[in-house]
Amino acid sequence: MGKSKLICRAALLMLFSIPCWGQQRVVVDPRSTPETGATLQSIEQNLGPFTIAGQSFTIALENRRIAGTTAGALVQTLEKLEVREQSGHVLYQKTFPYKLQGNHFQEVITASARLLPGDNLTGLLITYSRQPAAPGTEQSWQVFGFRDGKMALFDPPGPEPAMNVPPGFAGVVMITPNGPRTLPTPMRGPLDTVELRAWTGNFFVIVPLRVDWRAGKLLPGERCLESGGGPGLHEVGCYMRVEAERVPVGADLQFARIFPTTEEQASMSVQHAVIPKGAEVQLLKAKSIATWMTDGDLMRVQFRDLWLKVLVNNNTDNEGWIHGEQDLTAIGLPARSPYQ
Amino acid sequence: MKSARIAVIAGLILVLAEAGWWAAKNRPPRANVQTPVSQAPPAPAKPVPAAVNASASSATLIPTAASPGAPTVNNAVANSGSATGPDTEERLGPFSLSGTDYILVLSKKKRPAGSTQESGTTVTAMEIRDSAGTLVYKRIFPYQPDETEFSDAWSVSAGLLSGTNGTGLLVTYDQDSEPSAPEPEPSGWYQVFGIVNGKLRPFSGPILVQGDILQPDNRSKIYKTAGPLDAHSDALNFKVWAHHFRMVYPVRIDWSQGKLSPAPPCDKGSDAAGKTCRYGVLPESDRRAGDLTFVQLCPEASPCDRPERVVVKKDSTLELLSCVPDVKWEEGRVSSPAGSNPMDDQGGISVGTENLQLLVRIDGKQGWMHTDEDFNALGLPFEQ
Repeated sequence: MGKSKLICRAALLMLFSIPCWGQQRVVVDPRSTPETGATLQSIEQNLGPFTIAGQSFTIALENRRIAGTTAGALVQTLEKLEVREQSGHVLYQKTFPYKLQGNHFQEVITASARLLPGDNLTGLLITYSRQPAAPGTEQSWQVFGFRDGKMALFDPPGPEPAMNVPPGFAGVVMITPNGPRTLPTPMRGPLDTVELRAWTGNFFVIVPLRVDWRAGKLLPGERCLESGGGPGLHEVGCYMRVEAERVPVGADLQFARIFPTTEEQASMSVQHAVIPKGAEVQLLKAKSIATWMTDGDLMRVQFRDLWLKVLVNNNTDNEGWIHGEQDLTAIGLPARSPYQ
Repeated sequence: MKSARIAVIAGLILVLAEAGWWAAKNRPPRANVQTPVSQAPPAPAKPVPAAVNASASSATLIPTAASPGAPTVNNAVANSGSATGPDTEERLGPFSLSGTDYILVLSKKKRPAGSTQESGTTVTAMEIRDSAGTLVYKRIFPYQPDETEFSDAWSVSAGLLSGTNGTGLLVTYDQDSEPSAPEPEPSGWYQVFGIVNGKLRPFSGPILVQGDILQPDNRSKIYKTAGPLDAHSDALNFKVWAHHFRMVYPVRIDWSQGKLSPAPPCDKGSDAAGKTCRYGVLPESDRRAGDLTFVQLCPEASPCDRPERVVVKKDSTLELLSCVPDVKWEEGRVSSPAGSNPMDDQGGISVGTENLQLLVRIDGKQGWMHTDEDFNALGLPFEQ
């Protein structure tokens, strides 16, 4: 009898100590009760496992949640993230301070992860989302991969002047009057191009990112240069695919200035389009200068001189480029959080 | 013997007399030859403000007694233009100013045909003379008979300018140059003459305007000012092309000083630096009305960050209310041209292409437009 009781207790102990992969575990931590009177819960979450080069890794998330609240935008935030080996050993850890404001957090952060498959190797992409956030700071990323035989964080792309394109950078495109032309620069090691879905402030674009697996470094996926308007080359926007969902507009009529090219100077031939409610607007492509920034060990991307090519009601007279908040709002893409 | 000799001589005399009578009776009729009307030598030229163009042709000026307005054939013109046909002369007037009559004498030649085969005449010289024939003012115009491609022709017209505080003479000069591209408004020169200290004198150089004089009745041969500005001055309104519309530019005629100057309608009480001068705008009949478009309007004359977008339909009611342009006035020189350019003493009224602001009302919605983009969206004319 004593023996069976021991076995049962051991079984119960094991049952509760095995991690719940992909599930959340709620623990009430009374010590974290803030001065505001709200009670915080600790929500543990695991992402994965992710298999890279035959090894298994998980992402452990520790969230803070305000107890007693219904699901809302600012009631749960990420406090700590860990990248763990299969053995549980922590390879990387990052904490995110939080601040309460009444019965919600001043800012909430969430994280998601996916494999980053390349032709040569595979990495791990972690995407962080922040809200509310200043425009351009809603998203940030990290890429993990094998570096010197160990799983480590890759260096983010650094800002480089257009006049000083590094040798071996294989993503330089020169815009000529006859169209884009890739400059014949030598390749440097095994480079893969991956794509990130990035928020511009009004819609998502697909941004290329180059991964140098050997050096453990990230590079901008593409840079578009043009001559003219001064000595040497200067950076202009690259074309990108668009993913967007238009929001309904209230007024019966909206107005947009449609340009033949992505230059404001060509104002003489600007088409003044009147867009009735319910009009069909096709979003063809975007053009912008994507600049990678670092925020500690996170990387973000900012979009300068953002243009969107549209076609309204299948009327080629109303096909062209728009830009600016007023015109993007007119076609149902106002500035907003990507999580609305 | 002696009597026979006498008889022979008498017979010869008779024969000769009869022959002479027969010849006189049967000679062909004499041709109808025109002679110069007057061969009086030219009066000695008095000093006049207008210097003669040194490079002009050396035509001899012969005062004629022909009736005013009647062209006169002048066979005594000493220039080498015989291949271009005879010169003609036209007289305008008389114009009565302060009890003295003045006439304009226009010397003309046949216009070069050019590549477009133009016809007509071109003025080569203009003189203003008083009733005594005294030369008061003169302007020479170039003549290029050998020009094969272009055909330039000068024309001069004149009329009394009647104001509340004075009366003068308004002379207009036009140059027609073919071939040429069409323009929304033609350009011409306007010069006001008046009596100052008993003498007729120009009030400014010829004022170049792309537009016209604004008159209540275009059919009248007498120009009228737009009304008094003070006890000595009247306003003369010009229609001036402002790149997308026609604005009204008032000019002050000071009859006592014999001077022209701008009379802009500016804010009262503003300092010179911050003064805003708002000009009238004429209705636009040459508008290209599309189906549906919009324009951007600002609440003030200065550009705004977020203009209001106002829909414009094909049948929208459009009113052009006023404008704030960058206008430049130049008085020019009162003395006559000194070089080969007949208008190198010119002044002018010109409108800059930058900072053009137009106040409009569209279907009752009022606001300011600033950009070529919006002027074109509204269908206003534009320059090619």
